[in-house]
Amino acid sequence: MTPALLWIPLLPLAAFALLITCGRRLAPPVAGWVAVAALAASAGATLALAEPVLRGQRLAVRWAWLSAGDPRWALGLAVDGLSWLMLAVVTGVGTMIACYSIGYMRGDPRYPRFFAYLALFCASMLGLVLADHFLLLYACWELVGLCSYLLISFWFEKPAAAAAGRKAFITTRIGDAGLLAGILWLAWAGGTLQFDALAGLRETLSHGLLTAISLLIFLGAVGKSAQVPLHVWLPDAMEGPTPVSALIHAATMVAAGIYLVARTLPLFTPESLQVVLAVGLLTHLAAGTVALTMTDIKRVLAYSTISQLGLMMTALGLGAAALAMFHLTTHACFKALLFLGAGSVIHATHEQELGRLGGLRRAMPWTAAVFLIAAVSMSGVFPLSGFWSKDAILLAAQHDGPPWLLGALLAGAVMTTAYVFRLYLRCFHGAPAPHAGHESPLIMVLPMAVLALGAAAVGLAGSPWLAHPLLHLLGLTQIHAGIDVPILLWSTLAAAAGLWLAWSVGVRRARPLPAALRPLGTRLYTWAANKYYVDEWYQRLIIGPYLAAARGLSRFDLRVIDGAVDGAGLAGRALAVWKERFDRLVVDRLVNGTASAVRLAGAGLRWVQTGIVHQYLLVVVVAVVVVSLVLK
Amino acid sequence: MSVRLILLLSHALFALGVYGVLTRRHAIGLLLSIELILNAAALNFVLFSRAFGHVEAQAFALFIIALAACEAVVGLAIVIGLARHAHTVFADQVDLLKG
Amino acid sequence: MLLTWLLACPLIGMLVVLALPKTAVRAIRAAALLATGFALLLSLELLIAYQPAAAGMQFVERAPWIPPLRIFYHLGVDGISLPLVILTALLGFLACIASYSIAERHKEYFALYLLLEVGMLGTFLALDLFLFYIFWELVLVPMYFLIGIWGGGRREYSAFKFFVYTLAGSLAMLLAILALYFRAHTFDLLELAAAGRTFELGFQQLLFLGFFLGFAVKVPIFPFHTWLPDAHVDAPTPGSVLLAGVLLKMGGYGFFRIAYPICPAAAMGFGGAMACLGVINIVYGAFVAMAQTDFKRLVAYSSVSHMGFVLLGLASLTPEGLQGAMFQMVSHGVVTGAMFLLVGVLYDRTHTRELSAFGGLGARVPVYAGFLIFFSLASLGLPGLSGFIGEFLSLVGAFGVWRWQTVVSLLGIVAAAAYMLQVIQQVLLGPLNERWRELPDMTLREGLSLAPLLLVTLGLGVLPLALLEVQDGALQRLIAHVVGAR
Repeated sequence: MTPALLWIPLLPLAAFALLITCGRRLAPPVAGWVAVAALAASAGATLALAEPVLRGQRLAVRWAWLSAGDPRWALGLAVDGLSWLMLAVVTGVGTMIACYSIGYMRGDPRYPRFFAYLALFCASMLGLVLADHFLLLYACWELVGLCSYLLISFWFEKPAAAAAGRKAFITTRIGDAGLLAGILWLAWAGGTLQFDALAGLRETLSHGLLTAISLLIFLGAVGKSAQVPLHVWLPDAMEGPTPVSALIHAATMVAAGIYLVARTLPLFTPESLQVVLAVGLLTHLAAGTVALTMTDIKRVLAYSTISQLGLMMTALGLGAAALAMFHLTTHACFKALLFLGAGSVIHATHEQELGRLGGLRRAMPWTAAVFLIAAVSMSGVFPLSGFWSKDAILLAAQHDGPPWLLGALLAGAVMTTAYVFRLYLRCFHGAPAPHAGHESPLIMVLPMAVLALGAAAVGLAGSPWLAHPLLHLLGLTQIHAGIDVPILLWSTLAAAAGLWLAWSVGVRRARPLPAALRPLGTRLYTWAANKYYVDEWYQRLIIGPYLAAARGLSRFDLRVIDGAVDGAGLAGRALAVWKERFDRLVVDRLVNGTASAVRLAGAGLRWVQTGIVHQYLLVVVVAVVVVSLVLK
Repeated sequence: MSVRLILLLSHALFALGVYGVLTRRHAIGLLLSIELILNAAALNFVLFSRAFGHVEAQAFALFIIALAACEAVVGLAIVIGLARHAHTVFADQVDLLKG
Repeated sequence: MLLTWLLACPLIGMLVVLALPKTAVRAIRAAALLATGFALLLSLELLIAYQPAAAGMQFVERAPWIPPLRIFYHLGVDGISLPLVILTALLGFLACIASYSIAERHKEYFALYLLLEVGMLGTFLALDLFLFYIFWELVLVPMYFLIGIWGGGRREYSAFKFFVYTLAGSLAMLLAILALYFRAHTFDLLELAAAGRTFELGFQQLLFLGFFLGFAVKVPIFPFHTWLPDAHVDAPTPGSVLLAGVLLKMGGYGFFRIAYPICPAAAMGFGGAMACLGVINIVYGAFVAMAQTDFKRLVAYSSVSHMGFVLLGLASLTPEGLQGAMFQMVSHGVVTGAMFLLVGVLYDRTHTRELSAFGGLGARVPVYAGFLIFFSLASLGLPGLSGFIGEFLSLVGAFGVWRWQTVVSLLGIVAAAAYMLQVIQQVLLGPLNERWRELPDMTLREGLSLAPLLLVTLGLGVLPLALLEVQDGALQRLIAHVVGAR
């Protein structure tokens, strides 16, 4: 079965290579179908793997990469229950979304380029999921970040899109740096980067070391899965085409953080799980409140994604990796569907402000129907998919978490229902907006219908009615048998409360708060509507100082260091000038002075030289006489 | 003849020579005067040789005669050169060495 | 004789160019292209004939040159120099293609260019310290003229600064060479390496400092780096390519071939300082690059940042670290060489390098955009491309030895993403600047000079073992030599 393992990521990669090199020579729909075919083939290969994986078999293939001998630096692909589930999500949702994009992206000048990036993304994401080793995981982790960057800024003529892509890449790269540090530490301290060897490290490594490494790895997950405090890139990422938002920023890539933590859960100590829990819960609640106040339909969904990812992180914090993955699966279906529905609306009306939308139910019945299914599923209404996964998490919170956790999660559930129905009601109900919508073409509706099926029914695979095959696949053995009725009641109550809130406050604009509390409520609302000013704080505390430091260092480089070099040069020149002067005024004058002294003496003696021999002789004679007189 | 008289003679000769050197303008006259000075010296040598019994001094007298002959040759050659190039044989008219 | 022929190729080319009449521009170009092309072919033959498993130098040639001083014409390659020789030959050939844009004084230009290649190849091939020094200095002269005559901007200033700065560094090295000669009475690098282990620590430290100054200016190591941005900015495009691609590697190579083997104890003693300098290079270079507004200056400072990884890996003295340092040198040569070619392509068309003057070119020149994005990503260390391997291995090697330095240098990785994406955003993204409405895309010749680099970058990123295995034996022996001297 190992060839199938290789084909899964290689097929989309081949599609990418084909599309990036000669995509422009293909007619527009052909380029799209190439990507769809590759993804569908990957999905087929995944299905082919289902049988051995369900039997509990682990398939693996490895080859040397960075070192011929050292097993730490090998690459390997492996598939077990956890990665198979992710494979199914990525290839399944990916195929649907690629199909949908054929219709959505029609007429775009860079049509083949879009599908090339999409194929590259799927290849990297599949590589990430299949990696049995931190090294390949990290490589693919960066590559999906790159694809996210390329696709967010796909319409790069919009400055906002260009800026959003960059913000996404850099923000996640901060998390990636943490992940890289964790990997380096693990390689050095643990001596292995194999995922299947992680459990063994619990005995060999010290508790503090494990905590540190696991928190660094978690930092990577925080960045990729848009958890507080690195969540700021995801809402901006909505500048990209909507299918991209559905695939990358809802269903798959952002879930990679969840997958990473689930995969490396053996490394997490109770202390680091506390951190995971706290971050997840904070993200779940904070993003939920922001989603309640957003008026751009894609941003509502973006914050809803952040919030749902927070819920999965909370489950991971409880140690329930299987439940988090279960919710990831159902979430992939219903959130992708919500995005595709929103994309359908945007495609039809070219409008994404809630205030200018409404009453689209009649013009777009199919879209409205699938959107409703997704919304109900996300609200956790019995017996749709979202119910099973969310209730499993609530149950785990009740059993394993602190007593207040269940309450907090129920509050989150209320908000979930409230914002998603606020969105649904204001888009599809109420007075028709000026934009005349029309139903999207079949190529877009059909994938939505398939996903709606998933959003409704996938959860059954984790339900007690079918004896939890999904959870068994993920290696969970102790499962609450049957349906826990109190939790069912609570969550239904929460959904009802959310629905009521969405209707009365979101649509009818009622003011449920007593007058005394209204100023407080208004202030809270303003905060949430401004996303708690996180972007502004980052601008002020991180980006501003960073740019100032860059400029300051640049000036330092130019003035001080280069100045020192230039100064040394100038000092050398000044010294030369001074030396030249010394040379001219002192040394040269000494030489010339000697000569002129001799010349002066000669001029003085000139008059003696008359040239008349007699005078010389006279001098000689007189001198002889004088000398002889003296010597006498 | 006494030594004193001959000594007087040689001194007279010498003084005559010096006088001639200092006063003669003609180059040949100068040469003749120098000849006189040399002969005065030679006379002295011969005189002292006889008076003190030294033979070597007579040898010096012979030397001087030879020297005088050489001197006359060189001197006359200079004079001829002078006459050819400077067209004069008067010593005071040749002042090329005047500083 | 292979190595001598390799050196002779550009030399003969230079003589041919000199013999040709000044006006025969086509013939001059063809001669230069042929000479560098043959050198490239020979270097590839070297790679094919090279045996990674065999120990010691290969293709050795040794003939007495100045016997009374025991100076030999001694050439040879091993796993450390071979990748750099091939890199030099490759960049020499591609930059020669790019030199077609030189518009004046072709004869002088190509003659000097080929002389430069002789010097660069000789530096990597020489096994005699004296010969090494001669080639080392030989490189300066043509480069001085290339910048000073065919450059732009403040070219005289930059050329002068480059020359004097490098020469000042070389003088310290010359002192060390002399000290070494009077101690060991040989210039043979292999004998010196064997003798160096016996020197007392103080002498080794002095030697190391002397060599360090010489190499630090070339690498360049903070704070000796400021000649680099000036020289890069004002050099003609092929000059920048060779400057970044090869000349900086000469400094790094010096550490591998001379400073570390000859002064092993000092090298270990100075490891901490080297690692700190590496981190400063990485972080400082990245921060300063972020603030640049001139495209070429930005790439120049990114070079400072990337060469920091070489130092960091080198300081670790672990197999991974040294592998990473060597890999980073090759990868940086290829990637940054390509970046300078790309800047040159843009500058030839627009005559400006101000990043803010561009904008939205991605829609206008898609092929160029593809190349620029590709090499920017390689430069910021995207996995799958060569930059990642070098950085990753350097970090892995350094992590166990210099923990905090490594963690701090991760900052540089984040900052690299920031400035590289800034470039992409300012040049390619956003609305199209109306000034460049008619901008033509890359020509075939420009594409041909970049495509091999693209393939090498991708190939090294996907199959790094191809290069790592060539280097492995020599680096293992270097580590054993240095660490064993303790």
